[in-house]
Amino acid sequence: MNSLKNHVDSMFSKYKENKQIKELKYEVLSNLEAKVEDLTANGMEYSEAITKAKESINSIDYLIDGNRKVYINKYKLEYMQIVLLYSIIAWIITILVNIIWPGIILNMVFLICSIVIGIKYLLLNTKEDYQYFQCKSFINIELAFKIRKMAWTIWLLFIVVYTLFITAIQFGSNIWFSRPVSITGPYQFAEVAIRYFVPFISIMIPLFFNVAPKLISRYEVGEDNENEE
Amino acid sequence: MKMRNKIIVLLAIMGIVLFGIVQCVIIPKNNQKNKQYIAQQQNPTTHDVNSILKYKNKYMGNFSNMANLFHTLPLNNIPMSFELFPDKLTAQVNYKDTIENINDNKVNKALIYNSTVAFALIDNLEAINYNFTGIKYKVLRSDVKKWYGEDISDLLKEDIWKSKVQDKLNDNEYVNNCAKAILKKQ
Repeated sequence: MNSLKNHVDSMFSKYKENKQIKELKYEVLSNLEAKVEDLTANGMEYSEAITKAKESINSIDYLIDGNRKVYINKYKLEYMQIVLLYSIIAWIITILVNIIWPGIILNMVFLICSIVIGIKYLLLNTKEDYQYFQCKSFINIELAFKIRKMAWTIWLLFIVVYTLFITAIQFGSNIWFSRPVSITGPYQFAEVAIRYFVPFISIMIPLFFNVAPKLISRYEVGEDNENEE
Repeated sequence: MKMRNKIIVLLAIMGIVLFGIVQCVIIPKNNQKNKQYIAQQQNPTTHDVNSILKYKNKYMGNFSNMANLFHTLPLNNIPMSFELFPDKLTAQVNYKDTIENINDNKVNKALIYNSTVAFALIDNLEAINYNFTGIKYKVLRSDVKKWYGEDISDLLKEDIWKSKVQDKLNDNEYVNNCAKAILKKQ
């Protein structure tokens, strides 16, 4: 029976131990033990019964709450396309920002990201292997929702802290010395506005996590997706 | 997905064109303008008075305000240090160079201009000591006020500043006379 327990443990090894996983493990192990007892009662050798029981269940992914079977490579391809689109948009925005704010590093980061993702996407997109795009795998949609929520929360927190920080740097001495804020012209106003605007470009990160649940649903294995390209 | 591919190609082309325009035309042009602006700030006749209005202060005791002000005025390329004597309402600027090295006429123009700016912006500043290597000058508010014949802070309007302070400094005779009247050798 230890061999059955090891088999069950190995099937659950990629999942974090929690209440649901513990219950599922217990349930699967009980079922396998019952199966072995049943088979041996019908005259089968014990070792053969263990092997048969093990063979009867190879994957438990479909038992996990929120796990969805998706066409994984189609999912990855569209995900990459969306990330490429966001990256190019961010690159174009930073080109315009560069006119007033010398943020060439940020601009180069987005340019390099766009080129790397673009090449990878192009290579994937030109793949004509039918089997490759029929490949299926499990993705947990609940985890995707959780990560999405976390990404937005962290981003909002970052924006609030950064805005306060910029205000302190920009106008702290005016507040401290009761000096009126002086913005002498449109260029100076644009300089201040850009300092506030630049961190908002990081919205690309939560947006990147935002698409995951939608794409999981779109590429979930089922009637609707069977004939999709 | 196909539509999104078209948008990606379109945006990529747009980005490349925009990148070229910004990096090869707009930014070099802006840099040239900035260099020109910085050079203009070294010259009292072309200095941008609007850029220093933010240093207007009632009290001369605000050290950072005074130091920042003098770092935006002509002669800011000469290494300098500051001292304030609030009990005498006096500021002292120590330039670490000789007048011969900088040029006599350039120093006179700059000191006239810088003193006018400082008295116009700092309400209770009564005197400024300028110490160069080997020579010291003292400038009093009362002398500057007498020279212009009006309250110095009234000069701060852009057109008045240009005509009564900056343009006059193009005339070397005016500069010599003004220097004699307000720059007291110590």
